[in-house]
Amino acid sequence: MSQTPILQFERVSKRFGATVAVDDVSVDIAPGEFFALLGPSGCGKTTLMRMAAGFEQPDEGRVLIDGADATDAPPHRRPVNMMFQSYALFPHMSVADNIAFGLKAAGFSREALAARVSEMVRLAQLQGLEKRKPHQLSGGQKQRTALARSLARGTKLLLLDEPLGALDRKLREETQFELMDIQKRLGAAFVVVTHDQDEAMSMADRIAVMRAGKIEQVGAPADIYERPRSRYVAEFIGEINIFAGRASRAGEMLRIEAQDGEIEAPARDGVGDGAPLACAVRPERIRFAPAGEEGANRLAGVVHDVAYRGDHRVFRVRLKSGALARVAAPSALPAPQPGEAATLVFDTAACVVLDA
Amino acid sequence: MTSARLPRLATLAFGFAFLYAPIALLVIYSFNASKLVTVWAGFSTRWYASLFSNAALIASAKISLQVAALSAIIATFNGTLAAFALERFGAFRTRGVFVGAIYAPLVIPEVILGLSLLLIFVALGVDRGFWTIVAGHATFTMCFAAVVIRARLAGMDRSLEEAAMDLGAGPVMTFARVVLPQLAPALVSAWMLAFILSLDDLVIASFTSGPGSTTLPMRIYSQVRLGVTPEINAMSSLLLAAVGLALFISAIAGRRHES
Amino acid sequence: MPRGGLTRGRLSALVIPYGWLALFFLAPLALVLKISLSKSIIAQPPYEPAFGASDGLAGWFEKARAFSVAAYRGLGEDPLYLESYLSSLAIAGVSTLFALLIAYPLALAIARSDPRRRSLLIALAVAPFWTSFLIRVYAWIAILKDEGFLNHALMAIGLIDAPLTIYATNVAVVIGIVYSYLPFVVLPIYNSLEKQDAALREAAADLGAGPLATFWKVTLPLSLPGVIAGALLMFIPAVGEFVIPDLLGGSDTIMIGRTMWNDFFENRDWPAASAGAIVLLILLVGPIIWFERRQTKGQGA
Repeated sequence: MSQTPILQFERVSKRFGATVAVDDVSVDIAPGEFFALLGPSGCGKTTLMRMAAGFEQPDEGRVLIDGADATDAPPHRRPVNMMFQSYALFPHMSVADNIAFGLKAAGFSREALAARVSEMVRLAQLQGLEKRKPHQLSGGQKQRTALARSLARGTKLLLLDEPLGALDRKLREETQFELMDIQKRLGAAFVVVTHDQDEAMSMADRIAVMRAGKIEQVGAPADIYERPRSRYVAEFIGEINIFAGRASRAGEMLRIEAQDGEIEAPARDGVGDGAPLACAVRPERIRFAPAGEEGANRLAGVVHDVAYRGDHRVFRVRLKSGALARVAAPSALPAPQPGEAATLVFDTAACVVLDA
Repeated sequence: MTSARLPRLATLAFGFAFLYAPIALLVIYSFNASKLVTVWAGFSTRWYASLFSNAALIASAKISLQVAALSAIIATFNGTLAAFALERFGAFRTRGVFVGAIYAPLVIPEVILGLSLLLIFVALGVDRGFWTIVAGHATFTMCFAAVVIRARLAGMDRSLEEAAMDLGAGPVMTFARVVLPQLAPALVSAWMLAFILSLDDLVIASFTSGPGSTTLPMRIYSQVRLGVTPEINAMSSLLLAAVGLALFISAIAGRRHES
Repeated sequence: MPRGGLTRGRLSALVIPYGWLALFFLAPLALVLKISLSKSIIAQPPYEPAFGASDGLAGWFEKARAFSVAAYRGLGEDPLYLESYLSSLAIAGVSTLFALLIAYPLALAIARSDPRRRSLLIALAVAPFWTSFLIRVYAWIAILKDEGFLNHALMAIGLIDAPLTIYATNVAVVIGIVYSYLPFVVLPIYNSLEKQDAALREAAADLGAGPLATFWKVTLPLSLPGVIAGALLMFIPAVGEFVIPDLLGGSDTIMIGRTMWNDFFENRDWPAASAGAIVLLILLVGPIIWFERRQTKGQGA
């Protein structure tokens, strides 16, 4: 990155008593980037975000905002704004007063303030609701008010804590696109904390997958999905089948002796004979092999059950070892019925080699 | 549970009759023409008239109102600070002592509080009177105020304050524009509670008062010891009406605030 | 923003209420303890101080050895104090029991009422607390007197021939205490009943429990924290009650609050009254600490 990052964590750690919430995390976020911190609850993603906002001080390391050290700056002196998970709308103020709050704190003149508020009202499509109190708003309207309030000061870095968590499913999808749209129009960097992988995948330019206070992997959504670097990331993002066994070199390939059969996997450097490795394959990369076809990466089993998902179906197939493998196949294709024997097949390239 | 409707209504009827019948009798007989308190002899307002010509009683009522208003202001101020200390300051040294000193006066018998206050005023050589009653009342009512305000603080969403700071408001603006408006209903009820507790108190006032500062409960008490009189019934009815009116207004205000 | 610890701003906010309580609550209590260890003399103030600021540290040690536990020994030897404590505990205990017997059904009836009417009903049940304590006790004099409303009514319906003597007995004191403290007991019981999930009772009924079994096995056990809170909120101040025994009790009604009041104002034996207060405090601190522990444990769970 040639530009100065808008937000940098430099070897940041934070402990609460005996628990380490954030453990030696370093990551840079570029101006205008849509960045997601993804992980299960308690992985430290919220603590990391709260350190950027100034609500927590790191025990070690530095937080830089737009190149300047902000580690010790109090929240109200940081050029950063945050949208709270609970929205934290001031219940005694109208929508307009909520949006104006940060502008008043910044000492806007009366005219500039009114102009900016109506601009934000338009941006968040809150026209006609300016005089309402938060308890008179629907969930989606509250969410948009909170967004408008946090954007009113024209920040270059917006932190969003589970921005869609309180919305119901249908609204959530619409709002994802709205957020992406607003982010592109304003050109501000958005950092979203979420535990929902679909949300992170569909919105973010880059995702940091967190686990127990550490960042496991940072990358573009496709990168993380297609080339997870650990079993944790592979299993956290989407569905995946893991076939583990002893590996041996076979020319350009690796051969893994899994319990359910022999697997050919792409080569990887520094693998000794007999090293325990795993081949991870996404369900949609597995097919049912036509009877009598020969070749590599064939696993025999019996179809256990089928879940219909509209455009595709998910099959669970009982393999020799007793493990259940998942296969996602387009609904239009012919497929075996539950109880029937089936052979699963996948390309060597579909296998991601991971430490077992 | 419609099957249990009858016993439920009977319980409610009995319970509320027990709670309100003595008060109702008291009010009804304040309009009794007879000097005998328990024998009805026709409607009259003569006891109310004689009440207003009782200068000593009026003077005591004035003292009581002044003591209650002043001590409630002090108690609300101190109680607010104490509530913040308990709810927001985290651990500090001798916090246990502080917590104990806030909660103990809620349950310690008033006789002990009064006695200890009297002893300290004597030991410090302070002349007892109006201000010692104010101090005594402000002390025990601040604990009630602290509990009321602390409950509100505990129920307040911390992220509101964080949001204010995040939007660039410093500590003073955050307190004035976000915390205080949220806290206002609790401050009002804390003040009212302190006011009523002070207005009602006999024991602590008896220990801490001096010559010329006889509060209304002290005056009523000394008359009650001599027997039941319709004049006291009238006085009591007025007090009940005042408290009832205050409760009614605060209930209406509370409902308006909620909506 | 620091989560804990005292910044300078916080310290100045803490000093004011802490200082106030130190001056008007902690120091007075310490003084009571000190005076309880002094000898009684007839003077103003009517005690010979055990410690003085002018004594210096050495003097304090000297005097500490000469502490007078006479006041406490006096308490032990004085049958009046012993009887006061025992009878206070008994009267407060009996009153608490009766209050629970009235408050529980009332709280239950309110909690099971139409949700729209519940808050009004509980407000009505608590409202008497806001009115003057003294007046509410006073109201009972006219009811309980020999020629009072109760006797009038009972004789009118022919239940009794001669008036019952209730006024100026311990029975009147118990009635007065139950009446005065009832709102204190109803509120916590109601709170614990009101937040009980109705689905729990439905589940019990679905599993074959009758209404009575459901009450004993589900409703009552779940409301016990409220019952204990209500009982303690009433029992502790009732032990030290002064106004009610003084106005409704007879000359043979002996309660510790009244005994201390008399020692203070009439006998002017300040060390004895102080020692009485200290012993009473010790008697009451046990249940308070137990209750506080319970509360904090409940919050942690």
